[in-house]
Amino acid sequence: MKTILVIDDEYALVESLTDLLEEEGYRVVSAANGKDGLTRVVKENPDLIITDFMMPIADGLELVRGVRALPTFQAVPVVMMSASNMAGMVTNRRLNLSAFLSKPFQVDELMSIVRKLIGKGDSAKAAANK
Amino acid sequence: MSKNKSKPMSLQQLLTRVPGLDAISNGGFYRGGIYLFQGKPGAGKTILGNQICFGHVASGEKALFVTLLTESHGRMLSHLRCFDFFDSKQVGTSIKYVSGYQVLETEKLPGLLAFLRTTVRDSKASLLVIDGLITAGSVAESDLELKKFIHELQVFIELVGCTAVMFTGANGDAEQYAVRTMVDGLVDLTFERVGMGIARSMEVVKLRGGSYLMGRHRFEINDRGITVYPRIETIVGNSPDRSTNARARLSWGIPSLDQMMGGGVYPASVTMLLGSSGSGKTIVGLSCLAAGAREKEPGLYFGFSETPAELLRHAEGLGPALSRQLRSKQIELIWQPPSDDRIPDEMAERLIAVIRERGIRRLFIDGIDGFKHFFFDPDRTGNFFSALCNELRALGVATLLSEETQDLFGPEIRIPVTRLATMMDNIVLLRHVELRARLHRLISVMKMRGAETDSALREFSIGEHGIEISPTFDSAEAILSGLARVYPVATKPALPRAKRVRGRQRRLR
Repeated sequence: MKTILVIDDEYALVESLTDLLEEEGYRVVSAANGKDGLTRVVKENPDLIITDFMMPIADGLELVRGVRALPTFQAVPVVMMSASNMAGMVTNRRLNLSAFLSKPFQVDELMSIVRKLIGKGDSAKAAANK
Repeated sequence: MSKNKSKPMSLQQLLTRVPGLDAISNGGFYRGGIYLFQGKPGAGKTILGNQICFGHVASGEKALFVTLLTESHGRMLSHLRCFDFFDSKQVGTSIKYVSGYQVLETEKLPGLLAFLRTTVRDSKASLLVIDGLITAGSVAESDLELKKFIHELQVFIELVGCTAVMFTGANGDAEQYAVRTMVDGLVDLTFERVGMGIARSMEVVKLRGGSYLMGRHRFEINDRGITVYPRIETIVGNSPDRSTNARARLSWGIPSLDQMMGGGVYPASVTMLLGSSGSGKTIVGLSCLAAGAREKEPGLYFGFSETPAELLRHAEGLGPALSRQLRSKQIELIWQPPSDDRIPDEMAERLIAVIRERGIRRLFIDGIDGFKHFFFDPDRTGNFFSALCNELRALGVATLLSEETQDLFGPEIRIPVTRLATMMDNIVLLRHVELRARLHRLISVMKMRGAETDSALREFSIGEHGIEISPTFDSAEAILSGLARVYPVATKPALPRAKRVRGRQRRLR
């Protein structure tokens, strides 16, 4: 099953995204900041990272730099989400992000990006979750 | 800053389609937001929630109505059938009614949240209405738990592009405080007894992300459901004067009065006819409307005390022309029947709508007391009339307002509405004076903005042909005060005895 790592300090968003992505047949793991996120990347070997930009301890920029510095994860797709549009413009150019989502966004928009980047989730698991 | 510039760029608005509500929220609520309406039982919360739902699905979207220990769905729906907005075809198809109480009772707030997440997704609802949120508050073990519930719901509905509208009891409850701090918008519904009637009002207390019409706005519940009337001073009164020939004069239809006012009134002006009961205000006003109708200027009589039938009878006494103009609708008649529940803003809104629709050029509001009577906050009357007068000027309408002075005779002339005299372009005073055991009617122009006037007091009478104004009434003094008295004999220059006798003989012939 494809694994998605969701990193955001806003627990309610993580919880909702987890539910919604699991409903689509993905396995979801999460972290609340960039530092913990980097640890989870190494441990979980995700197919996709969805991360916030502004977070405590280590922000999204530091996380992506850390991920790109690991030889195994240089090609893993990363979707950055932020309430700041400036963050998207800066980080997209520097870090070769797969997508940038401006908060607030709707889940349909995210799902279409996810499907485009890693394909559909496990349909049997999705049916079971629904 | 203009209203549009103050709106967040990325947020779409959701129209509630409740008349007047989108106006006070400056274009509707934001999609993905969470809004709370609070009010005592009987405030109209359930009606409003349903009206918002039916309005929402009328545009092809879906809605979910969740109740938490409120009346049964069957009973609620049968109560709703009397409203025009109710459409039975939408029930169960576009609007899904579900009860969340059972899950709330057994699984508390986390269970309710999971239930809402699933049901919103399954029903593909873009509007979620929760009726009876107070029940959710009562199962929360702490403010924090309730806040957490609202926050998680907020994040979820934003993600799925749904807007949540919640209804709860009055705002005095401590447990509601947590919710009030979390929501994107907060609206208070109140009602209070005024005389024998009820005055309902609505106030947007908080609205994140945009401006709104602050303060209380009256609303009514009738067959159409809820209609909100924004306070007229918050929506009109700032328009520029659109009259095309502002310096032209309009005749009163009373040549002597036109002469006293340098040719008549200006088209975009407001004139107060001030006088005691029976002093002739209605006749002067009708005469002005009749003069306009003769010039093909549509007129409107907006009255409170005389019924249309009474007014027609009154007009017949003033000649066939006026009666004909009223019957043929050259002069439109709007009568406000007595009621304890009238809303001044509703009347003003209707008045402005008729003026726009019919292209009214002359308006006579007979008895502004009819408006004042319905203000439950008398301090508002000045702002109300100021906005209304400005809007009428902007529409290029020549307006006459009659206002009754409280005393038939007396040294004081009191205008009951604060600042009203300063808002007027012109003031025409009609008075009774008592002199030698006879009542006389006097007319004078007290104020005329931007023009010279004849300040003389004139006596007038009301006959078959309407108003007849005679030359200056100079036989008495202190007339403006209403307490006329003849000059004392001693102060008059003495005439030779022979002249006095001749004069007496002439009078006797």
